[in-house]
Amino acid sequence: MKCIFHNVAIRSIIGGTGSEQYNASELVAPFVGQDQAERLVRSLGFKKLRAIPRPHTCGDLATDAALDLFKKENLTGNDFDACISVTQSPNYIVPANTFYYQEKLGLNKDCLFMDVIQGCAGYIYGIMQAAILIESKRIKRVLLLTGDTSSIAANLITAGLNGRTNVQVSNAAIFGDGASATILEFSEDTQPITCNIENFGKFHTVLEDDFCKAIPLRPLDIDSFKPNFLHIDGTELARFSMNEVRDNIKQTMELAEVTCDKLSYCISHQANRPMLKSLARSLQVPAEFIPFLSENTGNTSSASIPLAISENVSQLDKLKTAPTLMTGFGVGLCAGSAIVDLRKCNIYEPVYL
Amino acid sequence: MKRAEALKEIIDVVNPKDTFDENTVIADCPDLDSLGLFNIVLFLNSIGLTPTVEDLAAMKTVGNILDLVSKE
Repeated sequence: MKCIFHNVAIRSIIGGTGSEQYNASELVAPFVGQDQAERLVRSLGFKKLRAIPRPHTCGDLATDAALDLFKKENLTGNDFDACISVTQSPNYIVPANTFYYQEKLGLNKDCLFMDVIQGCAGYIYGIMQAAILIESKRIKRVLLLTGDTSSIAANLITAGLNGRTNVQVSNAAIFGDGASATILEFSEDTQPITCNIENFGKFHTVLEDDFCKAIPLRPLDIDSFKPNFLHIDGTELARFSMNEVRDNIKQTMELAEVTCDKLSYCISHQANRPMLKSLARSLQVPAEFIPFLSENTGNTSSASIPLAISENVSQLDKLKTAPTLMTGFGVGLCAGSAIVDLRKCNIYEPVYL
Repeated sequence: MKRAEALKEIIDVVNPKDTFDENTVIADCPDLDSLGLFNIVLFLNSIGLTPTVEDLAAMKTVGNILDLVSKE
């Protein structure tokens, strides 16, 4: 699905992540040995991983981020016509996270709720969904909440391997917990948002839970916590990223009639350091154009794009000089890109839970 | 792509503890484990080549990987 939205502005963004910061090498060493653990960290690029203390959830973190954003933007829950939640780790299967947010954030009963199950490309999905609602002219302002509790390291600490074998423990050196809150609204004075999302369901087994293929439910207590462990087919994911994701980005720029030199950055889903470097090489752009920004946070799924912006806003000085390309890719498999204008967007430093 | 340039890119993407060269035997280099080879696959994919980790593991030296690049 390719779309250009002419009257949608991203008003503000804030990230959220865990207050607990783990040394990735120390975390993984008990399972793979010290040498292998150090190689994993050098190779993947995540020195530290942030996690929220269990049994807190992504919903709790997104709530904290949204409340902080409301305060900074002088808004309340009553000021929103729609709330979109994007997560693969909801508080419960039933009811949806948006109902939890309604209670915590004071969203009014006329607010439209949408819960989207998406991972690494989830932020792009959320932006596009919000833009579709706003361009319908029936919705003026949308609260977009994304994130996941993906930290396998935190799961290992909390519950160990829980009797499982053949777990890809190396994945524990990749994922952190993150969330984000973004406000999108109708505007007649803004640059277009260009979106391009493509889905590849035939690769649905490339990234999946290795055991039950189900998401963990919110535990009532630590003893009932059921950890999830992701299995990744790295070779297939590499092929996908260097071909489909690259082509998705190129198509998006063609649709927007821009080239890389007219954009500030490509803020990518923070998959890992070598993936982003190789993506830059495949696009024949400098590595600095697709910065790796999550060395001390981890890959935080659908929160990784807004959280990377929120955590590094003081370093990303070009954000205020030109439109920005965002690209998300991964579980599904899915590739999505958006060209947005963040020059008037209020970007705040993250909250920590 | 020239061999020297490709070697530099491979070292960059693997980010080894100790550097390696064309003559390095893959099986003797801890940094060229499955993850290291996966990162090389990423690099090769990014320049249009599509070997698997298994293809690279079957090679003897880093120079054999560079042969793939220089054939293009």
